[in-house]
Amino acid sequence: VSGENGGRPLPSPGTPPDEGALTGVLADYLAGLLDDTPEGDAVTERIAAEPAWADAYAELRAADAAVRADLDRYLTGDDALAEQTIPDDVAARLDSALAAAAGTAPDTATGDAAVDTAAVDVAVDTAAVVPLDSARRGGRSGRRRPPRWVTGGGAIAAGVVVLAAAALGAGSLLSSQDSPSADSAAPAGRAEQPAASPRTDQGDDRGPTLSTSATDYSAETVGGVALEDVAPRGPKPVPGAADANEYGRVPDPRQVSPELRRLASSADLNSCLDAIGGTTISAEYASFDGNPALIVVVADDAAEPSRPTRVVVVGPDCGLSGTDEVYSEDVPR
Amino acid sequence: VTKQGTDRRGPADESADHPADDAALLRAHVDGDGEAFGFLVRRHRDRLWAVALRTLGDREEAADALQDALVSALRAAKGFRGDSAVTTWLHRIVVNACLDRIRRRQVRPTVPLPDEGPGEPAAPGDPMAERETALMVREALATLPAEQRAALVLTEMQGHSVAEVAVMLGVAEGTVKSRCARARARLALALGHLRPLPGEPGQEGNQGSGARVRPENAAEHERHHSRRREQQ
Repeated sequence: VSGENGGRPLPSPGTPPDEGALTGVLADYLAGLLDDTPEGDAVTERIAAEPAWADAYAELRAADAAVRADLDRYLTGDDALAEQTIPDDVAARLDSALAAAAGTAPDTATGDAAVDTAAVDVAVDTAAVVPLDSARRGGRSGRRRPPRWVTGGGAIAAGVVVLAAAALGAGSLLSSQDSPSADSAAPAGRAEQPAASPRTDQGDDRGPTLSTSATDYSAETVGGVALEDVAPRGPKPVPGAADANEYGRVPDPRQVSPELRRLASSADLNSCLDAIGGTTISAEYASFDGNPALIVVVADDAAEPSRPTRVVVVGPDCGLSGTDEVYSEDVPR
Repeated sequence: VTKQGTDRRGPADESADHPADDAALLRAHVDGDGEAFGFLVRRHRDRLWAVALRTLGDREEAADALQDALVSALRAAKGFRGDSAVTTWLHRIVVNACLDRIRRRQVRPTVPLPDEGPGEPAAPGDPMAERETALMVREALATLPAEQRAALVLTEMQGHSVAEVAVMLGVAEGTVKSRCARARARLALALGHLRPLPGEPGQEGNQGSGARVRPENAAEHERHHSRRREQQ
């Protein structure tokens, strides 16, 4: 029941509460989340025994009431009320994007004629594939060249990537609610999804799905990555692509942990993926057992380049001399 | 026909035959009714917009996230199996799109400016204080970790139940409550309702230097503390 940092131990006896305790365990305690738990009992003891804890708790209690009052005051203000209504231009853009996505003409009843179709096209692509919104803002995506590994590797049906990313958010509900049966439920929905007009003339939409995450995988959990690639689950769009850096869809190195930064260059990533072999379906810059790692989902059957067969976890030296493999497992058919 | 739909006539009005509830509209969309999803969105977009705006704290980002999310929802509608309310599903998609944007960009939310300018007619009561509160609350919200902010926005600002929000965020109810409680504690610091803790340079307090865990945004906190102090 306790919060996500619930495992953080209390500061040792005699130590006054620090800010982490204030915004962590004491906040949980105040909210009643630690009632009838050993951790809650420990906090009760500290408050009873140590004035610093008693003061901090009393102050937090008063401050919590003040925060609630501020929030109420804010929410009843004009600014907050204005936030509750979608602005006309946003609504018009939304209507147009939805109409385009549905394959219907823009909704003239509510659409805004000023929304140019180019913007709509890009908007649809943004949703379907990767964050390309820099394009809409006049970004440099027009000059973006597909990195070698996109065009060089095995051809991947553009639809695969489109579908995987089309689930942005949506898929996560499907699978986490159906977790035991995600493999039966989600792919069905996915198979039906219309592939949003694969733009075969642009390499940007092809190739592996690259993502960064703060996830720390283990041997027990990493297999789920392949499931995600089959059943579009978590939102896993390409990070950094919005900035259209020189590497195209490789994440912005600043978004990758320092240890993995080398692999955020397309040349080094290429070497790494080549060393792993097969057709890369996805690569996630994450960690494994606490260490930075690239989680790669591979299709080894050239006849089915979209069916994951292996999940390979590699370390930062992948591609230097071999794969620097940390772990791998086969994906059951 | 929904309220939002009454201004539409002509062939689209066959939606009068749809039961008006969300699930029926979504089914109609899946069955090929080209208008149904639009009705559904128009029914909920104001609330979804508010969620996106408050979670991202940036108008353009919010507009992009909302659009991405709803286009995704349109495409993924076939997979919706009615395990939750349609609105919960839509909120979840929108919140995920927002959180994903934040994680992907690793940007701090900016402080959204109200649409109207400062010269607008003021609210009754104490308009200056109200404006000031609004600005400070926005700035304080921006200092929260994204997950805490989303939980707080959905529950305390948008009025959803903890159970609903747990589904929207894909976490346990206790986690939602904890995120909200911790968010309020952080807001209390950012808004200057909490005295800076022992160990903070230049602060009152006599407990010496406890092992202080500095939050990532301690600098932000500092800024706010000093601001609030200046005002007092």
